[in-house]
Amino acid sequence: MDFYPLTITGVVDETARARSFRLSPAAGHAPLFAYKPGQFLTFRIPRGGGHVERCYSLSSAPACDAELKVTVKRVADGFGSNWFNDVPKPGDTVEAAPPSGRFVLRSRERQPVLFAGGSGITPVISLIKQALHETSLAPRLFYANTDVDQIIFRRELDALGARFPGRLECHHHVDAQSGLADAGSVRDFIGGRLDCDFFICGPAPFMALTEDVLSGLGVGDRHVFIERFTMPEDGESDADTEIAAGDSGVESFRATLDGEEHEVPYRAGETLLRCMLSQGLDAVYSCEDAHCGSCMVIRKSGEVAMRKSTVLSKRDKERGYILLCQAVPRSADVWVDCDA
Amino acid sequence: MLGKLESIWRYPVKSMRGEEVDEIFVAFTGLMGDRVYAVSSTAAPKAFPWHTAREQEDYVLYQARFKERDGTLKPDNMEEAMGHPANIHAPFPTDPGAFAVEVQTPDGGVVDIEDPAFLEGLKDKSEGELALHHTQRNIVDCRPVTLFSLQTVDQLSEETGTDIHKLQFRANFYVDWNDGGGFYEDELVGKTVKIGDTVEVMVVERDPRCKFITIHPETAETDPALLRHVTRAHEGFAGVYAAVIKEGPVRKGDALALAD
Repeated sequence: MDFYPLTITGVVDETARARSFRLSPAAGHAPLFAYKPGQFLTFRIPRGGGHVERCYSLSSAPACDAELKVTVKRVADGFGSNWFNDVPKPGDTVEAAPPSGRFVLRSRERQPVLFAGGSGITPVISLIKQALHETSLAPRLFYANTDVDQIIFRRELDALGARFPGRLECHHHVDAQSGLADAGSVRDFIGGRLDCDFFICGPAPFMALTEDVLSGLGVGDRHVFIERFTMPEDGESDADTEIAAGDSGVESFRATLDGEEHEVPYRAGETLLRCMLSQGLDAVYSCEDAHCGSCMVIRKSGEVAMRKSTVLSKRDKERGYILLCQAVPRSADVWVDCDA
Repeated sequence: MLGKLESIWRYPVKSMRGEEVDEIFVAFTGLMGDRVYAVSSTAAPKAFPWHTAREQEDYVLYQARFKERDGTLKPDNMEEAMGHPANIHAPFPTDPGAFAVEVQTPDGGVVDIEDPAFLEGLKDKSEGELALHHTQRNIVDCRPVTLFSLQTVDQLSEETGTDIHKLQFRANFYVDWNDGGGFYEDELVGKTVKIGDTVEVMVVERDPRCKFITIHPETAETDPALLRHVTRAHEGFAGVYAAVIKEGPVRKGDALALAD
């Protein structure tokens, strides 16, 4: 993955815990950073003598934002989110790889219904802006937050509603007022309008709840689009990928195991290990926490993102080792050798 | 008699090359002078904050040496403490500087571990900020003592078709069983074993293994296949952890026997 410098041209405090960063590539690199609303950038953040990678969704949309913008919410013990909220300032340079991701609008005819929880609004507002500016669609947003103070982009959403009257329905669900969102509140919001495209991004329980409701209503998978923000379960600051965009569009990957080659179906958001195990493959693993190293394998081709890589040394990484239990594919040509 | 102590090893600096000793005092907290220094890293997870050969394989080629080795083998108040009527039984080195250590780096240089140049020399080896820790007790991962048999080394070598070095397992006690075969130590879990005349250890659990066993102690090259084999064939375990029940000295060649 190649990284390029982006200059921070502006910083906006969205809430007490979230900041937006406007970013500008060098003139020669601008074409590399053309993007679709809903995509994300992978940043290379300095740490000690090396760096770690973090992915943050773009909250801007080309139709209405002159510059790239990412919004980062501070996560307790999250190295990347705290670094972004504490360190870079306007005029500084950060390094990022070109946009990626398939959490994008698929239809200009089916109405988009979007479910966002907390910082999951980041790619969702990008989709909303595109829908309003570039199509005649009328997006409906169910936006859950713990408290009113935590609502990111509240003013921007209000402004969009005012600018496009009758086109944007924004339902704020505030846990402090209504309790956690439940199946009933999600179902009530959908209101029987099932002939839509559904987009979901937020904390895992929120996404699982919404997926379950949609499944129960008979909405087919091909009309449900998920951006899975994978957070380190224990908040450890060594996570290589604080937010790993799961919907990479990868359908399968190749694995060499015990001398045999396998084409393994990829399930969005899952690790390579879990996908192999689900196919009955006897992949070696133990802790599933990046600590033991039992699942070290060689990546022969393709790109993967690692949620954590604690046990891997610099030398391991240079030699191509990855951890099956932490790796999610970032390209369609991933091939791992479990025998090396 | 179950077997005998083939060799006794301690590791003055956690994760660096160890040293063999012919005789050592075994405290409740572990072997005297074992892992009394460690380097932590901010890049390491909170639950395991140490900079080790897992992150820097050639760390096993760093040789730590006590400057006054003779004074680190048994506490200078051992006789008095162990004979104390209050049953203190916790001898302790009375000299706070007893464990002064110098480190020979792979390039042959020697540096005092307390010299800032030591950590400076590791700076490029870690992605985190490093800090030195010292205690006269033991900075062990889990239980204070590890035990591994030569028979288990032989079995793993045979099973994998490779020449495995016993120090890949970084045990304190390497044991030669009289009749037990490979992994016989697993059968001792839950039992108390007497070593020599005084020391008793309870074998508490099997030792769950990680990448460290793949690192050759003399070359720092790695062979992930060994860990994969241990995981598949032995549930990820090799060797055992023990807790010290009775303190005292042990010697190379001491007999091991069930205490009961």
